Amino acid sequence: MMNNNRTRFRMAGSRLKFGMLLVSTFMLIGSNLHAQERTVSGRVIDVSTNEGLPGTAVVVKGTTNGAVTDIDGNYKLSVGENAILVFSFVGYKTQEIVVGNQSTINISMEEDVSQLSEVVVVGYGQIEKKDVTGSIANIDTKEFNRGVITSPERLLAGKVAGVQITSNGGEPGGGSFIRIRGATSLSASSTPLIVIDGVPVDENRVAGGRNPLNFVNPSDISDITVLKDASASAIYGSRAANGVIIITTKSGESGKIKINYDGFYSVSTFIGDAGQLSPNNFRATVANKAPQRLNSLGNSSTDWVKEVTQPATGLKQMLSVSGGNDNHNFYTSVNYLKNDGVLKTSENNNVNLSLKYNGKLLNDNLKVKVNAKYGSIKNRFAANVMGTAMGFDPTQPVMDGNPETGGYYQWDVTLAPRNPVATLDLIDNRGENNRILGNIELEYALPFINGLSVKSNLSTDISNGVSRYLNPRLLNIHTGAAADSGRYSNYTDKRTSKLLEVYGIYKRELESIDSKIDVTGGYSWQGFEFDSEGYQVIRLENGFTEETPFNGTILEEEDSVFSENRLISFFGRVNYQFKDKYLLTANIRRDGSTRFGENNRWGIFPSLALGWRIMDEQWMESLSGVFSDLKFRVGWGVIGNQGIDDYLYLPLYTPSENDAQYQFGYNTDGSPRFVSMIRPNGIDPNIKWEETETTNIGLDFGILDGRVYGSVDYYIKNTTDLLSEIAFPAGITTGDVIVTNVGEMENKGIELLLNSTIIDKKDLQFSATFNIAYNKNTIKKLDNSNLPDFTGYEVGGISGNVGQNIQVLKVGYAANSFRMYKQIYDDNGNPVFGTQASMYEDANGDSVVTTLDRVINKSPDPKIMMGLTTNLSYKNFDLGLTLRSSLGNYVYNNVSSSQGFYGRITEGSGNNNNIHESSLATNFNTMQLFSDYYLEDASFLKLDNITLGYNKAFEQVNLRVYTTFQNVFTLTGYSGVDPEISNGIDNNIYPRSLSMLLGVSINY
Amino acid sequence: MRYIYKLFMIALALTLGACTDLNVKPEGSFGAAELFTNPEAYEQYLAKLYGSFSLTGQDGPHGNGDIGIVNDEGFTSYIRAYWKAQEITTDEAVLSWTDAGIREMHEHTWTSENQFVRVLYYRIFMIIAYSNDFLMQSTPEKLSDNGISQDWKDKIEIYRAEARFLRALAYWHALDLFRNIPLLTTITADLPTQVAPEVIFNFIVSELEEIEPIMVDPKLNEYGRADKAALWMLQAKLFLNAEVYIGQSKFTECITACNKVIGAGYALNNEYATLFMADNHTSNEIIFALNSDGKNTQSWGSTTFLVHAAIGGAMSDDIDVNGLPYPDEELNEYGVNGGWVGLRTTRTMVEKFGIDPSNPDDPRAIFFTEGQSIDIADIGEFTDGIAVPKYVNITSTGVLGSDGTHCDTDYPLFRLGDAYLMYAEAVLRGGAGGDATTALSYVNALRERANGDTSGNIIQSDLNLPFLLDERVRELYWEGTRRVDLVRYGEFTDQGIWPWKGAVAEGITTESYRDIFPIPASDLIANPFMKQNTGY
Repeated sequence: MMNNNRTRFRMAGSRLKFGMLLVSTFMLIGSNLHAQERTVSGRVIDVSTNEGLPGTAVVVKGTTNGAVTDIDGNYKLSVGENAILVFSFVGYKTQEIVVGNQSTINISMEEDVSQLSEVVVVGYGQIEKKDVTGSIANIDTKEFNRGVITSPERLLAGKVAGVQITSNGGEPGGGSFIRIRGATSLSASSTPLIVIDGVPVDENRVAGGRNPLNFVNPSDISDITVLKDASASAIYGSRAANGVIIITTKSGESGKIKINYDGFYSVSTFIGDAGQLSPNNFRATVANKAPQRLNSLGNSSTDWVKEVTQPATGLKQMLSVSGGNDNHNFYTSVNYLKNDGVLKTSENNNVNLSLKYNGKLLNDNLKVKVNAKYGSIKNRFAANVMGTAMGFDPTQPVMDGNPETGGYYQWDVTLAPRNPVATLDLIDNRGENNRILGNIELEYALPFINGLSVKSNLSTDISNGVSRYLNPRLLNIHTGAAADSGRYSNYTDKRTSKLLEVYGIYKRELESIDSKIDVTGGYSWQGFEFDSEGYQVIRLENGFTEETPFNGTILEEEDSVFSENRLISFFGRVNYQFKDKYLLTANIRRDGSTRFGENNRWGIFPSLALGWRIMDEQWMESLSGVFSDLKFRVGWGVIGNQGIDDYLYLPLYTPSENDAQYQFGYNTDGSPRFVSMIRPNGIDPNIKWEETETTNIGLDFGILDGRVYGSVDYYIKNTTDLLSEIAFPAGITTGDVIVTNVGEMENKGIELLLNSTIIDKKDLQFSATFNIAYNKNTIKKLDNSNLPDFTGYEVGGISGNVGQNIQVLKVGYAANSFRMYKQIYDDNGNPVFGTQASMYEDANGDSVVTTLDRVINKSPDPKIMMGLTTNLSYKNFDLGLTLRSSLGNYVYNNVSSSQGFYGRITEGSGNNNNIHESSLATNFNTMQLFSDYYLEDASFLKLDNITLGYNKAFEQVNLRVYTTFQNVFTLTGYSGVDPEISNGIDNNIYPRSLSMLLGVSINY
Repeated sequence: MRYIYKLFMIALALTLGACTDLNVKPEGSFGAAELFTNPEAYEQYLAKLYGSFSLTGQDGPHGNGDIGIVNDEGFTSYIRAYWKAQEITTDEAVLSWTDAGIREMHEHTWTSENQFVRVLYYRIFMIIAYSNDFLMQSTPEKLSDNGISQDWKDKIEIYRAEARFLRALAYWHALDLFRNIPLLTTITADLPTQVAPEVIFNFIVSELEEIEPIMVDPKLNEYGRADKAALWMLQAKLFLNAEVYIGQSKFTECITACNKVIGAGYALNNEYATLFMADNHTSNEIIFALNSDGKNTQSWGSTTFLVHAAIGGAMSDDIDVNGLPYPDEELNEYGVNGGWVGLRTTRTMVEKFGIDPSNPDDPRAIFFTEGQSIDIADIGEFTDGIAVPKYVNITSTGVLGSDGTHCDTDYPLFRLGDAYLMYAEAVLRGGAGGDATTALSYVNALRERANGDTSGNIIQSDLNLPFLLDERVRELYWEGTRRVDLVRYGEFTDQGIWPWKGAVAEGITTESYRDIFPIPASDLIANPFMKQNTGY
């Protein structure tokens, strides 16, 4: 078990312990009066800390006779014959001991893995897990993914049923594709809201950055809660339609100062076969298929993919210091993570600082939380040359010594691809991001009304980004035309978000009606601003430097962009409990957004959920041998989505840049008079909130004394007024492709989560967590598209040819389903190549093969996702791994389709191109982008990470040494490099890599 | 405690102060109410209407494009898309590129999903929508409301006439290319329905009649803006083809319009080739041009496309005809820094100028033959077919254009030479108001200009309709009129063959429904009231 985890339990525990001590003491005062025959005493300790456990109730079974342990965990009790003692403490496993003739009974209490007493953070508050009515998943440090992890969301991949987290390729520090229970929108965001320590954060990138969440050091996070259904997330209203991820960072705790060092060194390598022909194979193929090009082949044998990749190293150094007393605690950390990419020249350097202070003032009536997270990130971006590397003639050398091209081999052909090694070496693309998120939370318990407190949260989030891109003249010799002499650009972005929230919390226990009530209500204002400026310089002189950007060059343009949006909200929640068994949660949020016109600006988002703790019913007692927990939940709610660009409702006119003016006559000096053009934008003034209505039915259960527990959920989500960017009827307004509300989409599915402690011995522990989720996405309605021969809105652009789309949106199908020809195969199972009519099935039976014969088939979304996490510990060793699987996700192999045909060898006017090995199987002479030969079942099983650790406790210091392997293996039938392609179109992605790391962690 | 209360009072005050203000606006953009109190805004909006025929968006050469319906902003250029529809569907041009849908254009196999057809349709209707919005924003009532001065009101009245002219021009193209289209004159949320071609035809006719008195007299408007002569040219073109559009001949009306143009003081350039050079804004022959400028009016369409795409093969091998090194050959010969290796012509067109392309009978042939074969075995090979560097980015005095990538050469949409030929044809087709002798003199004027003397002149008996169709090729090839001419002569589809028409090397006829293009599938999807053109 990692140390971080204990921190959390102790925190929750220490508050509870104190409470229990009081309650138990009162309860037991009377019962001690009975005269008993003899005395048993002993000490109750926490097995994990070996410290006494005060407040443990010790009761003689079947009686009210009992005692409570004192501050050191000691107890003393008189018992009768054949007594059985029951030791119980919230959060720990209850133990029963037959007294027999013992007079001293010492007990080690273990934490109850079913964690029913755990407190989870939800929107604007926290709640005991047993009282949760919505679909919530909570993951803490123990279960987090391990390895080279630069951003918080990666900690979660594979851990939560129904949550898909896919890295956008293997770029160091890269972004992620996150979906909770499928995509709910077409053009608006389908990414969940992310809340860090109570602050909903801006998830947009700034110039020069990769993943905007990299500013948070994942090692500072103590736990993450995922709100999956409306009943849980509706308190976040208009931004919650895609779920909410609530990230809570670590706090200090009372006790001695703790110092923690964590460091690792990692090595990553590109694994996998890109699929291009080897030099010899290429020569043979040219001889066979394009003999006229034989004399233009070179004498080298270059593996271009190998030339552009490298074994990459990484290094992490982190130090944290925390501590405090009963009234004040702090946590602070500094982190350095350097992380190179397997594509040469790509780098990611993170420096993170974090500071957290929690304090109690004024007789504990005022709680103060101060929180600051800072990240300074330096990136270098590698030009994505994987596609070029695969396609570059392997008979040409990397270097040929030509001084004109800097020694690199280059084709002397205008439109030929550039040498990929030269591209990597010569393009200098760097970025720097600085982001700081700070907030102050005050909670004041009003002295004059018992149970009422007022809370405020003030936050500022500022990120700055600078991007510098130099594509020098040297790389562009021979390219002719536009980019003939290079390009330099320099952009600076600034994003600011400010948040003010004030809300009240009223908690009351109404004993007369056996009820508890917890009401929260308040106001929130959040504003986002985006500011960007920059310039581009083209036609660079040789020897151009950033310091002299205008020296002998042309300033192409100066851009300045500013936009802002605001959300104003009123929200409220009621949690009501009756007899501790019947739970009700009702949320409401009224949101106003600047992204919609005045008539559609305000939206109301309600939810209602009911929970029934079946386990606590009297009549369940007979089943208590089977179940340790049983709770039924049902919830309903409507949540919104406003994840579109700013100002899309607002009719505006914008002037053109200087290089897009029109001449009207002449100035008085005879020079042409150029007039800037103003253009109306194309908008739908009536766009409104996209709304998702969710119903969730769930059951939480625990069996075998809590050794196995979990939950099963069924949900149905229906999104109406889908925001989508679609073609408007030509000519009716001043835009052709416009964001508007177009239809309805449904997601429904089932999720199962199972946690189990399989072995739980003193020296040997083995636990496993498994989740599985099924989701089905269907477009239910698209306005104006009910024509019988409506082929669907085209989406999903592919490479290989300009303007080609492979996916469609059509009623009755999953969003972004593939639409392709059905390939005909010969008797040997090889695809037929010939005329269109001979290659493809005449799907509509009109005896000609036209684009109408492309049929909709399969979707890129996984049907089933699974995750398995296991933790094994034996004495000082521990072994943890994460397996993740996706079934039924289809991928269009665009690498193969755009490069897998013989005609490509000679496609350039003078240069030769390597081809994809699939051409040897298909014998395609021409590009067949729409053949479903290239559509593959990309189901996979991945061993995401496996960690082996060794722990050693010294007197003052705990030492841990560990090794982690990341991306260990992938089992798949997919023919491309990696089956995990979030949009289903495999096209020149940054390759993912196998990483090995060795780390050490020291706790003082 | 007092401190705490203060803190909460501040928080409360902030709360109420922040209030519920949800009005935000981007910097650099303006709402109509704010914008149009500035009279210059009307001129800038008018510039957009003109600029929409040349440029593709608000940032040159690309970025912030007007049209999102295709991926490549360069394709969305009006001239580029219109030119392709008029030329690479005919014997005048082939294009080697493999962009999806390009080959279909030459082979007459285009479908309603063809992206080049689609982008042309949307560009035409975008100009119509911009014009409609301009007219709605500049009504006399609105001008008064916006406090526009009388001086400016007078100017804006002319702007409005020009906007209606440009809209009529766009409608003529829509009628010619797509035939069955909706008539839209306002910005609306309602789904439009198609109207009969007569309705569009009559709309154009009446619009032009109404604005004629307001339009500036010939040659008196600012360069780049349309005048009465441009309007008459549009009338002439509409009437010449009236039989195609509405089944009624309007040759008399055509002659009337041509006579107005011819009488307006224009004169032929001395040198034919100078019409297509970087200083063609000085021409006294060009009646209405779409402006380009290498620095200030940048796009990947218009003449930038026409100059670059026509260069390839030996034109850019940096070796001269004698086999000697010729550095920067494209720059010195054509004024641009590289070829796009795309456009050539077919044997059918070449032979209108004589049998030997390297030594044509008609000097108007601007051919490049070195390394080029007259026959096309593979449309994708630039060296198959004769190259036609008709448009260049060099002035008539040999000065390079201001930019090696983006061309200064203006696109001559209407010119006097075309008026001469239209006059002749309308006379031969029986229109009143003209005579055969005058027609002959106009045709010979063009031939004299071409030959420099009367050696190429024809006699009255040579002047017949088939001759005129060929003469239009010799005079107007690659000027975006060939498809219209072939359709008028009935030789675009089910009559007339040329290499690779119908996707066959020697060429075959195609079905007559292809005389017009299909309504793009995307518009049928967006608007269920729209009906596809017959045959598609």
